[in-house]
Amino acid sequence: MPGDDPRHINWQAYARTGNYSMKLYREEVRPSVDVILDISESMKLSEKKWQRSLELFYFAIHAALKASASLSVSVIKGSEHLHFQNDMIHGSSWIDKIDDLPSTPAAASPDLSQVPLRAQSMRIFVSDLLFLDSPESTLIALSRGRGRAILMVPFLSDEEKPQWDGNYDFVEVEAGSHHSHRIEAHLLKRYRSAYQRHFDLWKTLAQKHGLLMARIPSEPDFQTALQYEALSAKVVEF
Amino acid sequence: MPFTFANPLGFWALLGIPAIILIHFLQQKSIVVKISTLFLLDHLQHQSVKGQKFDRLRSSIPLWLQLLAVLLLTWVLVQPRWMQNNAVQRIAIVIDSSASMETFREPLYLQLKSELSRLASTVHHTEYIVLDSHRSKQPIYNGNSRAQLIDALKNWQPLATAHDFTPALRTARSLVGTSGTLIMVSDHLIDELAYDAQLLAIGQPTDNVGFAGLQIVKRDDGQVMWKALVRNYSEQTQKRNWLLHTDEKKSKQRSIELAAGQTRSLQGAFPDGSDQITLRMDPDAFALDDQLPIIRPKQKKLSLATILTPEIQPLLKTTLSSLSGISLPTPDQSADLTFSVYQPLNPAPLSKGHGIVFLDRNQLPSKYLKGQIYAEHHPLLDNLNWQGLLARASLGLPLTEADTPLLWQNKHTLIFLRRGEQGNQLIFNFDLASSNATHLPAFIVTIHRFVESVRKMKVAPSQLNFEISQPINLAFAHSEEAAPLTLSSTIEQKTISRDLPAHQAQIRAPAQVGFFQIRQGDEERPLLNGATHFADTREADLQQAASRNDLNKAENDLINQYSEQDARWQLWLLILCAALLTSWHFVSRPTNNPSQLFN
Repeated sequence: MPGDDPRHINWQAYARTGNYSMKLYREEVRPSVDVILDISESMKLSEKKWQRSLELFYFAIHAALKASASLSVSVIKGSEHLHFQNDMIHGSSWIDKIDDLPSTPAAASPDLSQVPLRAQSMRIFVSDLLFLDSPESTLIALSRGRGRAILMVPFLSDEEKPQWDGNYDFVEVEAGSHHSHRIEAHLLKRYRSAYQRHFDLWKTLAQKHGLLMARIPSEPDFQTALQYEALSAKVVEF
Repeated sequence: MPFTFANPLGFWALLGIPAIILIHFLQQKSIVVKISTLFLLDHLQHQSVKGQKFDRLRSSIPLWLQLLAVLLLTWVLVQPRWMQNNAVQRIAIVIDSSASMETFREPLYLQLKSELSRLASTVHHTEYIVLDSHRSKQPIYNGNSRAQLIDALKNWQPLATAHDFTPALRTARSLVGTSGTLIMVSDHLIDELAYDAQLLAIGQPTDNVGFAGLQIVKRDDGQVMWKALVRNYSEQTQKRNWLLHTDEKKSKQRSIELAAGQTRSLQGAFPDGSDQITLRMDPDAFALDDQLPIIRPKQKKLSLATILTPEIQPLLKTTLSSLSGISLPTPDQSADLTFSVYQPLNPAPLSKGHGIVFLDRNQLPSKYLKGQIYAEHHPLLDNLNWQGLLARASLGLPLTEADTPLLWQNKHTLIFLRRGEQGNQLIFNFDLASSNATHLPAFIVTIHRFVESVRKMKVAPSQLNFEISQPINLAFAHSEEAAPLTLSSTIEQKTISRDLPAHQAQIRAPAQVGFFQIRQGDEERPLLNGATHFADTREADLQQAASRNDLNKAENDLINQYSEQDARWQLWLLILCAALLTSWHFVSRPTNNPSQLFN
């Protein structure tokens, strides 16, 4: 065809058939996937939430392996992170190691800039995103090196719509500090609004940075949970 | 229409309100919750209320329903009753006028005031009648003012001895009718009160030591001694100081110690030249027996003339010598009493005035009288035994219609009393010399009784000791021209005089402890110099005093009688049940979204 590079004409085929044919070359790409699990104490607020977090973590690993991607697995807690070999992830020994990480201040953002992320890799970050700081620093760190990122956000309905009424002695799950609050209907309503605004901000900024984000409830079974947002946000595909 | 409460104890149900509020507070104790989104709450911190263990009460439907239920329950339990318009209740109060009530005057005023105002609150209009339990004919107060009632009581003197309240209660019940309220006020408990009276006992056990009696003794040497009994009515050993004083002098103060319930005596002679002395003891709660006025007793002297035969004179020698307070008449004075002899064979008119006449036959008497001896009921012969009398039949004085036979043997009158305008004659109508009468105690006692009766009738000055309010047998001039009697009491160095009505049936010693005199007209010498003391040991013993209030029943009766109950109490009960059921429904219902309770 006009414009085709004559260096790529398949002369052997021409000799056999008398017709010109061109050799087409496709670069063979092996995708790189960096899976990062947030192991701050808020992820372990309840058994269900931690279970769902681990499910998402292993789901990401499994999907990457199935796609024959180059997998890199890290966990992060505040400014500390650990990198694990693939074979270690398939056992449970890594879980014992994460217990040695120091505790973090309340609602402290994980320092993703310290986590080695491969250029152009797909970053899958499993975290509840319950950070006090602005999402910008986290999103920039995730998308650095021309990487693409997916945010898988497990949450509890007790966090989203708590049934508080009366006097509460709240124990901050990360710092362990006690805070007395009296919750009445109007304050509860304001809390729910604040919670909603927090994740709306994350979604807006994630979209701005070209990241996919889906909140995944912890209470239903895994498949149902993925249908909550993950499917519509094209974080997962069947 | 004002209302009252038949059962004020029902107000205790209001304690349910703080109990419910406390339960609601406790239910709101802080709940410990782990949280991962505290930073979101902190953003709202400026709008949240700081949590506390006991915070302001949170409004909820169950709380208000439960409070409503408590209020309704209280309303039903206190049994509100609406008073009838124009209802009038009558309350009669019989007050124990025993002397011991003097000790409890203040409790009497206070309790009566509070109880009467409580009873009066049940009815629009109340009328009070207060009677003295001892003298119930004249009410102490009759009106509708409680303040005036108390003022009237302040002028009332309880000085009576122990007595029966029944007549006063009967009078009071007749005054207020069957629908009225009858209250008996006393200082001790009374098990059963007649005429449906309610007891208000205001006493309390109180220690008392005081004089309990007086005796005057004349010694063989003629000296007159006083002997006073002192008694400790308490249950502990008591020590008191006492002293004796006359108008001019005081003795040195001495002390006496008495064990619980012990009685001791003090005695001494009258100081020279003093006829009046007073023993004083340290004052205590019961003041009446803390002093003992004593007067040196002096009986009236009787002038006695004897006109006796030689046969009779020696027979009466012993009898005459046993009489006290006897003197011979002066030449210008007629005798008060004459012992004379009547001789049937040589009859002569009997002497005038009071006298005792003995029969002297002066010859051999006839045979002894036979048959049963009968004595008439008469103060001169009561309880005397004349059965041993041996008398001979003889001529005697014939009986007249004015004579009072005293002693009989068959148809023969042995002794009789002849009353005359100028005096009484006791006539022994048998031959004394030939009888054994002088050997009989009854003979001597009869003569003594007659002499004393003559002494009582004599109008002459005397000095005697009395208990308070003791009846006095006073001889005085009764003629129409006679001057009125005047009684002058000296109490705490103050003298009060009052005229005694001539028609007064019974003259009594003053009701206060002290000295007194009774005069007739302007006579220089009083007819009677007396001293009154308190010696009623039953009243002085305050250990049995007690308090009890039975007027709650009276109050309930009044409320039921003069008011109407709340006609809607069944409705309130139904609402109460509905409130409780609704509250239970809200409490037991799972509240997924508590905010619904507020919307």
